[in-house]
Amino acid sequence: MYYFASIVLFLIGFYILLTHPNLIKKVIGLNVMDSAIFFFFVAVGFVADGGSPIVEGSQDALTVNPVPSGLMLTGIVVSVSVTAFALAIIIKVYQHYGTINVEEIYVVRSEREC
Amino acid sequence: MLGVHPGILIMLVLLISAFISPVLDQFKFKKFSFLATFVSGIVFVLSVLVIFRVNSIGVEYYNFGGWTPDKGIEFVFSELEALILLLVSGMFFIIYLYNQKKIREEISEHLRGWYFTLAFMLQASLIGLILTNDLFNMFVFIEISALTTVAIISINENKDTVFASIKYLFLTAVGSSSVLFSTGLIYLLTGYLNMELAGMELMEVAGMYPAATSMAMLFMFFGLAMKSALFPLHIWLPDAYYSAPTISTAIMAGLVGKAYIVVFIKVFYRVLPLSFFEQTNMSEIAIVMAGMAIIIGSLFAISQTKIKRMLAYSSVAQIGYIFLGITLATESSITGGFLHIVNHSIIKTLLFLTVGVIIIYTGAENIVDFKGIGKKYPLTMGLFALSALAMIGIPPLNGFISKWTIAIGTIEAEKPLYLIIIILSSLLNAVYYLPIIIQAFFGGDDDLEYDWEFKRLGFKIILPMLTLGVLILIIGIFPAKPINYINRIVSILI
Amino acid sequence: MKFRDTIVSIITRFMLPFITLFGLYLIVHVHISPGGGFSGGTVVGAGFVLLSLTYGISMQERKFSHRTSTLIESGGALVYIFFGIVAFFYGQPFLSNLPIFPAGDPGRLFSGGFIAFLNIAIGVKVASTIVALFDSLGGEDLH
Repeated sequence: MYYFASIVLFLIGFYILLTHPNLIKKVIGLNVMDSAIFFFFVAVGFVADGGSPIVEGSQDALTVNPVPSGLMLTGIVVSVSVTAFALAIIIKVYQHYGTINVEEIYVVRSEREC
Repeated sequence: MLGVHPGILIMLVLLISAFISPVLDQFKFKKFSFLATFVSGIVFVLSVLVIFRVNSIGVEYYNFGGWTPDKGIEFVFSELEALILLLVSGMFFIIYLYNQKKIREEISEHLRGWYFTLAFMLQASLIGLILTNDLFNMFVFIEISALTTVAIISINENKDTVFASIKYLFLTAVGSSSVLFSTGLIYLLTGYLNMELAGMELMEVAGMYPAATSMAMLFMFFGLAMKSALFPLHIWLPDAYYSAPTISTAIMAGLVGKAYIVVFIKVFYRVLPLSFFEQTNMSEIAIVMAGMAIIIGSLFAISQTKIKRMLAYSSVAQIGYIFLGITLATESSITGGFLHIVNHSIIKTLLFLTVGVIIIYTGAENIVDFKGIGKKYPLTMGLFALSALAMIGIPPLNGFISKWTIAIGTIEAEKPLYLIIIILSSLLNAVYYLPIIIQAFFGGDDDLEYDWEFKRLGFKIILPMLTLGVLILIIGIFPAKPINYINRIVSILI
Repeated sequence: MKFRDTIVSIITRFMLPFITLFGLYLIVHVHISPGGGFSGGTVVGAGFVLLSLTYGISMQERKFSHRTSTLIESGGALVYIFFGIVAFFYGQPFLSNLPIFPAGDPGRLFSGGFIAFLNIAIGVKVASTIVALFDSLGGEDLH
């Protein structure tokens, strides 16, 4: 059930990235896609009827798998870095082209070629 | 310190140099290019040590933190990794040697410290990518290399680099997300992130969960193809190669694309079961994509006016060759594809280095401006001509050996259509390379003054280019040793 | 955007020590509760960003100049690598959890070997990164 929801979220994010012409909305779509993947990973680690994975005395209780959640900490940091870098480059694009609409940027570039 | 494996020492040296560079930049250190050459020289020597070690000891695993493979991250040192490690560190050393005088000035003075920080991190992440045996570690290194590649493209800010880098950033981020998703699926199916353990587990499990396995395979293929610029996912490549400064383009063309293809080989031959790849029609689709890349890349290259863009589209075609070799999955074709990875890295780097010299010293960006340049810069254009002939596939140069081996592979796989495609595209390659060479040497006025090229360029720029040219000749004339080495690698893979 | 709103500045002055303390708590309790270097570092960094939002960028520059943040970032990463290299002197592979670091009973603060030290280095680095990012993206004069 969780897996299905994460795939739907991934496709929504991908759709946003593909169709909206505004560059910042594309960044939002990329973030939604990444969040879908983090959700997927955390759902992979879920064990039904499991407790939290913190060692407190007796070690025999059934716990949720903490490995995917730990991996996703790194993944979230990577996603933040990509977002920060994309936003910085978008500022530069605005300074050079005067617009952040992809279609208008293409118009400016094709006028330069002639 | 004597128990330290030289491979790990490579990573440590690169990471420490990468993190010390910003501090040095704050304290007004000026000699970054010298530092880069020095560090990459050390890395090159260490990678030669790694090859000797692999030859004598055999395959070796290095577990980080002492954890066993099913819980921890490990690096693997086998013949495949050792060869590509040598290629990557050697290329970086040659490119940094070449980075002198006017070519160095393409990157402004105050940005140089940051540029070399990024270049060190790129080298560290590419080497880590190749050496690792853990899927998530591979993803982290893929992301680091993607971000640093975008950064070295956009180090000079103008309209072209900004546009190329935002395009590359979005496309490569989609590719990385796909690879991460596929890693999650593999973890769900097998419970292991280690490549070899997951591979062994997947061979048993794939029959039970065919839908999930094929989805994992599809996402991994899509992500890695997007990053290696296989047609039709190559759209970021021409803009990125054209607008970046010369050494960035040389690094990207020779190394970054190749590292992702090596990752493709590692994942698809060790992790995902090969029989599954062939049963579903994905190998057919991959072969068709590779074939189209070869033809359409060459066709686009013919119609270009600027020389860097033409070389970029030529790269698209060559990546098609490599993928054709890999996805046909016969012994000769994989050997040919692998050899073409090495060959194309050398040839393309030499092409971009010579073109870089000409662009910076004469300002000739368009192909029509190349008339008569051969008379002013005979050595440089001579090396350009040598590498162009190697790319077309003329014996006895190294391009011929790898194309011939891939062609044998297409016959082995009983797909003669691709043999025709290879021959046809070699003719197309000739169509766009030969006119440049002829125009450069025989066109133009005869009374251009010729002052000695050596004096103007200097020993340090000519020597690296000459080394690559000599390598092209050696691998072409004596192909036995490299081919035997690669045969050993390939027979383990299949 | 330099206004000094009375309510916001009073609340910032009140909350900032608690925010920083909470961030440090998250960083140090990495092996006992969910958290760790990344999330704790983000909270501390967010506290400094709050400071600059309330009082303007010039306050930010005084407390955290460009040179300091570069040194802290490189320093954090080098400390991490240094902890990994320490393992070499004992003959173990890189980044091993050695017996010389305190390893008490599970559940107490001083257990878990050197994970706490690594996370402190990461936390400091992440906080400095968040501050530097906000500085360069939202700064009033972009150079």
